[in-house]
Amino acid sequence: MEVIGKLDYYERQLKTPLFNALVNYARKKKISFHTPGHKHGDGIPKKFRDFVGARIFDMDLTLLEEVDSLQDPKTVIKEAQKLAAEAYGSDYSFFLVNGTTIGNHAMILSVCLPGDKIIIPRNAHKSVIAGVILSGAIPIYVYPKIDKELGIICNVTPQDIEKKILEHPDVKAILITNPTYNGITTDIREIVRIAHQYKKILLVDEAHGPHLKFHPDLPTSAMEGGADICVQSTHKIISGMTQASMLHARKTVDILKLKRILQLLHTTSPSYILLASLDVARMQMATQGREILSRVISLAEESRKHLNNLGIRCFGKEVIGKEGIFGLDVTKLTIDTRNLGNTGYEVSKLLNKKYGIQVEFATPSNLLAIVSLGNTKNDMYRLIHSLKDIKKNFKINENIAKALSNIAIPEFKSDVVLTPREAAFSITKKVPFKDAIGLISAEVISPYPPGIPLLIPGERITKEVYDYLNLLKELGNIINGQDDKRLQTIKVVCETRHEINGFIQSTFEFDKIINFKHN
Amino acid sequence: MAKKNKWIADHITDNEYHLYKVKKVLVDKETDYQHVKFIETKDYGKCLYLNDHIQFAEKDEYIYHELLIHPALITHPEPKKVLVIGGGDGFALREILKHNTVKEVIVVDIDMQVVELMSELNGKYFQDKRVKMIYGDGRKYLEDTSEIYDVIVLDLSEPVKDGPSNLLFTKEFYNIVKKKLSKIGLMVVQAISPIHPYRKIHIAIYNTLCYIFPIVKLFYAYIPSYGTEWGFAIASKKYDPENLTKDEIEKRLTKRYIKGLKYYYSDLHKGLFTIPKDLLNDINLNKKLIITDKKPLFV
Repeated sequence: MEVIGKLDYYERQLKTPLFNALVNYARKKKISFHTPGHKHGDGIPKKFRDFVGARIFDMDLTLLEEVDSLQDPKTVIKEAQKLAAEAYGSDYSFFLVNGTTIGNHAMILSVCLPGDKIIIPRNAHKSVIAGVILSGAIPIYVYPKIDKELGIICNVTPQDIEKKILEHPDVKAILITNPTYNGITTDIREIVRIAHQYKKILLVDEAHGPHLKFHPDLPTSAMEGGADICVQSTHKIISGMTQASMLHARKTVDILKLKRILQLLHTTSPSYILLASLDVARMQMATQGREILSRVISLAEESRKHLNNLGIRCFGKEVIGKEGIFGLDVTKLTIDTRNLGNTGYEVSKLLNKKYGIQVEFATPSNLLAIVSLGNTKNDMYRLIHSLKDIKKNFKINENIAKALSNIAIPEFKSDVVLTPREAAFSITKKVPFKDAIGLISAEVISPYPPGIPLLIPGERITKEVYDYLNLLKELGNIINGQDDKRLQTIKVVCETRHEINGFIQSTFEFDKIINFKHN
Repeated sequence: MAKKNKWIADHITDNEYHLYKVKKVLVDKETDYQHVKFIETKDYGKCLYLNDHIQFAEKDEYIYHELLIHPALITHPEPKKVLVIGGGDGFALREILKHNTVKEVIVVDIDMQVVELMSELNGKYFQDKRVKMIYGDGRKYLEDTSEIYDVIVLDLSEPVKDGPSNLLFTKEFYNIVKKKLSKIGLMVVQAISPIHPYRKIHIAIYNTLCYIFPIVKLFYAYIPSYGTEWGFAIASKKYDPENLTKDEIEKRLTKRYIKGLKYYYSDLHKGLFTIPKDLLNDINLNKKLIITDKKPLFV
């Protein structure tokens, strides 16, 4: 008897209504007088078609009755989204074809009106900053913890979130990034508890967590934790194709408004291939996720052990409990390159050029390797073997080691003059960096390490910031985000066309700002 | 008349029985592993007896099951993966599923017939998609599995001669449990009654746990249908249940959306681990009493 209930769930989740509708339509080979122009791929240049095969183009369809519409789903897309909601435990799920980027924009726009305050991590993804710009919300930054020993940025803590809420009781919403790129999670349940206690809406950028729900050894996902709304990059970790993401929401947010915002932001010609990949990825996770992820976890854990035995540090669950580390997605391998004698960038380049291995990203001190359902034992062996080879052939570079030991966040408060939106829509100009003290940055300036922006558009380049950036330049640290990689020039706000209040306006008279420089 | 005067006895010792007036005998049979009686009593509702030892009474089972589960699960900051050995009646499972941190529960029970008998009462908890039921020997399952758990619950029948739970109270078994717990994992065990005739075994269970785990805490509750005090023990690798503040317990209950508990709450937890003096003395006097595979103890 006990099996029946579960069979219902598995039987339902085995269905792929959207994918099936596409296949059925494609098989009928109807004569096409509709878009796309390539007409079942017949118009695609031969070399493209020869490489990928003809079939995929049969599925590259447009809004047709049989395959439903993403803008106003009524049949198979609606059904597929409903199955996703059941699998992920949300009230509503939405398929996205412009990645988690559009999801972050939509989350913020559906919750924040212009002038609303939103707590976001200082190192939030640029799509979150873009959402803030689009919405005209005022960001209140919370700083994630930094672990000098590991050389990485950890997550924000519930205590810091609560502190920010108490400092800004009128804040409307809180956005957190969970897990981080490196797989580090915060105590999301505690943040949900705090957010709801103060009647705030909790938004989660869960780009790196579409798999968390489906294995008990992985951290708690946003929906399990009780968050109001989250976005996941199905394509990043599980089998969605690039750009295919999902947004999950509870009834606690304004669903009608969310739908409207998604209609506003979404393309009216979504790729059905991407949408179908979401349908199939959900089916795969809901029905086989436990087994697949068990294999992925053991691949990652064995490799982690192996690397550590070779003296190549790759932290694991032992770091749980450090400040800003509540949980860890062990499928992310953060490989410390400091004892490989070179920066993460160099090791990454070497892996690519010499060993034919491409990792997800590199920082001066680390590499990130994402292990997921497509990886094999052989892949892991190649990675470990290559790193061993690199370690054998390279000596510690003292200069780099010295620069990397200087990971720190300066204690200054950012001097916010304009909202990111006002700065983004202002007229800017480039000035020599040495003349920039007192001006308002129109760029993100983010020194690596640690990779947390020191300046965000709309913030004043104070003398403290100026001196600190100069020091980092001398130390040889990498400074990211701005146009001029050497930071000899910087883009600043010189005029805004927007109506702004008196105080802010006075800072906008360029001459006065120039005078300020002499302080 | 004869029917009216029918009684069922809970065997406490050969010198002591607890009698319940029977309303209706629902089941009375011998399974492959034990003698099962499922009886509707006058005062305590439906009661399950295994080998003449009462397992639960419908009326007050919440006391036992809330205490078995919540102090342990609340002590863990985020219990996601829970193993229950025994517990085929589904009540422990019901309490575990109240913690929304839980992503997976495996229940390993040896006696399929008991589970099936109870499915009428608790079948719906086994239908939850987080739950997997395995029929088999709990010890063998733990020895063979490569899975690591956050919390392991030993909801076992008392160790009786030739009973199914005998080798689940030993030093060797607790060592296996420890290996299958995460670095911050913990286990909870029903540690039988501390009353005089059982005290020696109760203390032996405590001592055996102390031999294997760095933190062991005993706690008790009076269970009316048992007619006696009952003991439980949490054995933990890192977190001490006694160190939780009232504030933290309440936070954890809130953030896991746990509502409607009848027995357990934060103040109860705070006072739970204080042990009466006579028991402390007896523990001190019997420090060498350890249960091993070679020398198991029976009630």
